[in-house]
Amino acid sequence: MTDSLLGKYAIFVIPAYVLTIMVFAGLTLLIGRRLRHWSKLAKKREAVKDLQ
Amino acid sequence: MKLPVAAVFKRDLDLAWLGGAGAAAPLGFFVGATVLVPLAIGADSKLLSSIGPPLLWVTAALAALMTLERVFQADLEDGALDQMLLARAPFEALVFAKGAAAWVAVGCAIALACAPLALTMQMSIQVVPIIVIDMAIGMIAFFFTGLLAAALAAGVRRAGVLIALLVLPFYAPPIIFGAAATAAAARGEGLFTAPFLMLCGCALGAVALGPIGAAAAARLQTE
Amino acid sequence: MKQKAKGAMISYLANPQRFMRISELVLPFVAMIATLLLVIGLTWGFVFSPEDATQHQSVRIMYVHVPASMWSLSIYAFMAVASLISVVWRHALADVAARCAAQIGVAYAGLCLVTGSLWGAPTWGTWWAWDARLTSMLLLFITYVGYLALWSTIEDEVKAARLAAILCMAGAINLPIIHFSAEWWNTLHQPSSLRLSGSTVHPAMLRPLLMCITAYGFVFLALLLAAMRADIYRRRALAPSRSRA
Repeated sequence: MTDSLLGKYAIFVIPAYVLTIMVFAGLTLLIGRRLRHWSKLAKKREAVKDLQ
Repeated sequence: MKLPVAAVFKRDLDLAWLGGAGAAAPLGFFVGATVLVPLAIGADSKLLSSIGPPLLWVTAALAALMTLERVFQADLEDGALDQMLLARAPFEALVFAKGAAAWVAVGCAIALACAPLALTMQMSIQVVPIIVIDMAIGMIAFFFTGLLAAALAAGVRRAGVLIALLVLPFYAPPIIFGAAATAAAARGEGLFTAPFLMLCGCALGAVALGPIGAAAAARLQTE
Repeated sequence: MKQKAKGAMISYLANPQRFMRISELVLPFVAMIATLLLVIGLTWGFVFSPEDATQHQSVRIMYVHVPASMWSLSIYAFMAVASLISVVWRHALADVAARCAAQIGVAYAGLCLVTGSLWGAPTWGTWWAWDARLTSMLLLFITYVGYLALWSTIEDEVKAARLAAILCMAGAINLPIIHFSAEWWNTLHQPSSLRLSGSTVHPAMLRPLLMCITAYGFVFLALLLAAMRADIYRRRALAPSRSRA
C-alpha cells in the first residue's frame, strides 16, 4: 500500500527508514550484548570475592 | 643562562635544519606533489591558473601534516619533554616555542617555495608576494592546531594516520579561508580581503589556544 | 540548556555506585518510552503524515534525517560538557559518559549523512552537495571518528580519557568555526538554486517531526545509560582486585 503511495520516491524513502531502524537495532543489539557480557563477568567476580 | 623559551626554540630550529631530513622532507614533498599535478592534468594554462591556489593549499597542508608526527614523539622518547617540564618557564610557553620553531623552519620554507610554484601555475608576478604572505599565515594555523594533534598522539606508535584524522577538522577553516584569500588575490583584489582577515583570525585563535591544549596533552604523555 | 541540566545530572550521579543504582531503575522505563515513541514517530512520519507540495513523498525522509542531525550535534555538546567536568573535577563517570555518547553520536551523524544523501537525490537531483550543512555534518562525523580513534589507540585508559577530553573540548571550539567557515564558503561557491531554504514546516508535519526528535532523544538516553552501565561493569570486572570502580 505504502509502496504505491510513495510512488517514485519509494526507492529513497524506504531505504532511509530501513537504514534508520537497522542502525537503532544494531546499536541496541551491540550495547545490549556488551551490557549482558560485562555484567555477568562483574557479578561472577563479586561472587568469587564474597567467597574469599 | 639562556631563557628556556629561546633555548627550546633554537634547539628545535637546529634539529629541523641541521639534523637529517628535518625540514627538507616536507619541503620536497610540497614541491614534488605540486609539480606532479600539471603533469597529470596537462598544460592548459587557464585550468592551471584556476586550480593553482587550491592545489597549493592542499599540498601545503599535507606537507605540514607530515611533520607533526615527530614534533613531540622524539622529545617524549629521549626525555626532553620531562626536562622541559622541569624548566623554569611555563610549559605552555615552551610548547609555543616548539610550534614557532616548526613554523619558522618548515612553514616559512613552504611559504617561500610557493613563490616559484605559483609562477609555474601561471599566476602573475604581482600576486606572488601575496600568496607567500597568505601561505605563511595559513601555516601558523596549520602548525599550531597541528601541535595539539601531535601532542595527543605522541604516545602512539605510527601515529601518522591518527594525527591526519585528528587534524582534518581543524584544517578545514584555514584551508577554506586561505584558498579563498589566494584566489581573491589571483583575481587582483589585493592582500587585505575578507577571507585573508578570517585566515588571520584562524591563525590567531590557533596560536592562542593550540599551545594550551597541546601542553595539557603533552604533560599527560609524560606521566 | 538541556545539556547544562544533563551536566548537572552527571555531576550529581558522579558516584558510580549511585549511578548504577539509579540507572538500573530508570533504564527499563527509558527504554520502553524510547521504543514506544520511536514506533509512533516513525509510523506517523512514514504513513500518516501529509505529502509536501514541492517535495512530494520524499519529505518523509525528513522525519528520520532531521532528528539525527539535531541530536548528533547535541550529543557532541553533551560530550563537551562531560569532558569539561572530567578535566575540571576528574569524575571517572564523566569520561565513561563522553565515550559512550560518542559511540552513539557517531552512529547518529553517519545516519544523518546517509539519509541526507537519500533525501538529496530526489529533491536536489544529486547524492551529495557541498552545502554548508552537509559539509559541517561531514566534519562533525570525522571529529567523532577521530575522537573514538584516539580512545581506541591509547591503551592506558586513564590517559586515554584525559587526552580524549582535551580533544573533545578543542573540537567543541572548532565546530562553530567550521560551521561559520562552511557557511561563508558556501555563499561563495554554491549556485543559489542548490541552497537549502530555511522554510517553515507546516504544523501537520511539525508534530510528527517533534515526535521523532523526542524519540531520538530518548533512544540516545536509553542507549547511553545501557552503554555506561556496560562500561562500569567492564571496569569492575577488569579492575585490579583491591579497588572497585
